[in-house]
Amino acid sequence: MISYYELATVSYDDFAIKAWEKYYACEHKGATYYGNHQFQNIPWDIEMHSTTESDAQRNAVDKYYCPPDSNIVAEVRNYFDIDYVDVHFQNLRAGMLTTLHFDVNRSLLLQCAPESQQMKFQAEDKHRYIVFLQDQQPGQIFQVGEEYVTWKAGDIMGFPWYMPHCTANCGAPDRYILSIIGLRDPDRVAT
Amino acid sequence: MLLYDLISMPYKEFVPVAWQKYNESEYKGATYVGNHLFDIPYDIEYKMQYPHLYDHNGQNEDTGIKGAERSGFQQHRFSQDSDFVQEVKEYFQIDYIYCAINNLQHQMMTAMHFDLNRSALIKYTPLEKQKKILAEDKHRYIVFLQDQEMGQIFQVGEQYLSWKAGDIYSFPWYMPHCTANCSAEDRFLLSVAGFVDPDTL
Repeated sequence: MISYYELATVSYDDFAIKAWEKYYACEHKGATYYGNHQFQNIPWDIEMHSTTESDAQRNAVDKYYCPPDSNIVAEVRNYFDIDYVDVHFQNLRAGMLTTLHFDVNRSLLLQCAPESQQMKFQAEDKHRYIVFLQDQQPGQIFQVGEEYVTWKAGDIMGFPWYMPHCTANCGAPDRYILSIIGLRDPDRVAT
Repeated sequence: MLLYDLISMPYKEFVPVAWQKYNESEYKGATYVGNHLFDIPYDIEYKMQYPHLYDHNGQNEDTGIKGAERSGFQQHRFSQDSDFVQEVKEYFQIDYIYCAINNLQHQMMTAMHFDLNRSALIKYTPLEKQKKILAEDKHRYIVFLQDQEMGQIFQVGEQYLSWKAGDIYSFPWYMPHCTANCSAEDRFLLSVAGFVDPDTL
């Protein structure tokens, strides 16, 4: 077991070394299917913040941070039975991609979880889910480890902290997801 | 269907014809042809190519491919009299050939599209043969020049290719395909399109 706090507070490069080590040692190099659910409170009508600095930049997504008191965060927390949660509504526009990476999710630990609990989490306790909000279109690609994920609207995929992943939208339509990271309160888990 | 008629269309008219054929086809992927390590001349110069613009009757034609304005790759086209083109012609046993090395750099992609390969027919095939070639007679090969890195993606129809250096895949004229490089390494491939002399078929 590895302390999540120790992992999340090193540099990304150091994190990546630990993640690759764990990845090579694991048997299942892909995503896990967690069922299908149509979330009711998707904030379709909000304005997203683009991480794109110019039209030439391709490695970027449009995203909206769902506030902790929003309906969608309440719905997600309830559905997944998690206490501390970070939810982003994301759009990968046509022609955009996100290069292969690992998720550190520092903000989940350092901003969403109370300070008194932060040192108690193990890396394995992190819940990481992607909810695809539309049917997959030709050219929309999501790679997790060695697996190319296929999806329908509402499909939920999860993967552990050491799983490398990337995505590209070589298709024409936008590709919307809910990106969810969560932790169960360690005191509640213990009981 | 004559290939000449197909490629004489503007790209936006070609696309629905290709989708119809694709949707009717049973096999929606690429065919593995084999493995061959070509003697690649790596000391060559590349030019950026932007596939949202196709050459149509000597003019730049906007293909209308969404997302393609952010697509691009480096390319070197071999001259017809180069030794390398002769090697490729002999290996695939084709008479008229378009042959290029494409380098898809880190963070680059090519949006989902169909190949017209106009230059293979119009530039490199003798005029008297051009209207004798059927669309089905087009030979289209991709030769991967390095082992696949994680994050290097090539989708053909419904299939995600996996490859080692030298692996050769083929697909017909109506097969949609796209590629993305989410890895940290460049991804080189040899792109070949060509025809056997129709009078010898």
